[in-house]
Amino acid sequence: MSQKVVDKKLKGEKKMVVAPLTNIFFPNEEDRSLMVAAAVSVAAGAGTAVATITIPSAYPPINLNLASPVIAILVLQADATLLASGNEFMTAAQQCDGVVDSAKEFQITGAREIKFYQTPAELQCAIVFYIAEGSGQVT
Amino acid sequence: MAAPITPLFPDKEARKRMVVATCTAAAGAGAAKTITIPDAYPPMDMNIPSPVLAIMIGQSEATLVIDGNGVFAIGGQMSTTPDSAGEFQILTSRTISIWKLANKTAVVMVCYISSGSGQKT
Repeated sequence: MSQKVVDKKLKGEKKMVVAPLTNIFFPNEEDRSLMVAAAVSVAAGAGTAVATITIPSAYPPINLNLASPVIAILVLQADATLLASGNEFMTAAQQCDGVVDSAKEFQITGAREIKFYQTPAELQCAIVFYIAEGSGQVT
Repeated sequence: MAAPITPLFPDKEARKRMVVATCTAAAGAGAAKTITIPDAYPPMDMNIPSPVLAIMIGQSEATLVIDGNGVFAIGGQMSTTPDSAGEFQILTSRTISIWKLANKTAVVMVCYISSGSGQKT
């Protein structure tokens, strides 16, 4: 199935909040051999607002040729006194194809950029597990 | 302490099939709690003795307590019900029993070897 066909199919499946992608596109074994774990920091936002994760140039970019290249995201509060939802995890199934507006949702907006719905207005650190395009670092 | 297994670290071929799944764990102190790998991820490879490489739990309630965040290493896999810190037991291809210390709900990250790219258990 071509990517255009996949995209068209996904756009037609708007069943939940912000049209989450179906989870049938979990990366196969070959793709998972290219998995990367990138560590980044996330600035404190306004709370219950969209925040941005930027994959550092030290890591190869996300493979945008796959429908679901992000396997998991972990964000941990990096400020004192843990708040409810200060630590959060997102699964591959929480990828959305629209602007995120609810807890645990994320959207891939570039080869190095992911938007997610940040619940606490706190500085956070994050680990993103994703499939890279290769071993190089060119976006 | 439960009966530990002798870990056999997955080989190169198996590690190409690694998955990082996230899920949740219920509150409960000093108790074995079952975590479930969501359907969004392929199931664990039950044909290898040590498919779980690492587990990390992060407290998801306000005000961090001691042991609110914790980790489980591959050597913590048991063949019987876990009853001490750092112990876990693989129950099925999608369920793991972990020994939970803090009476707080937690988010969980599991790094494991899957049986393929499909999602059938």
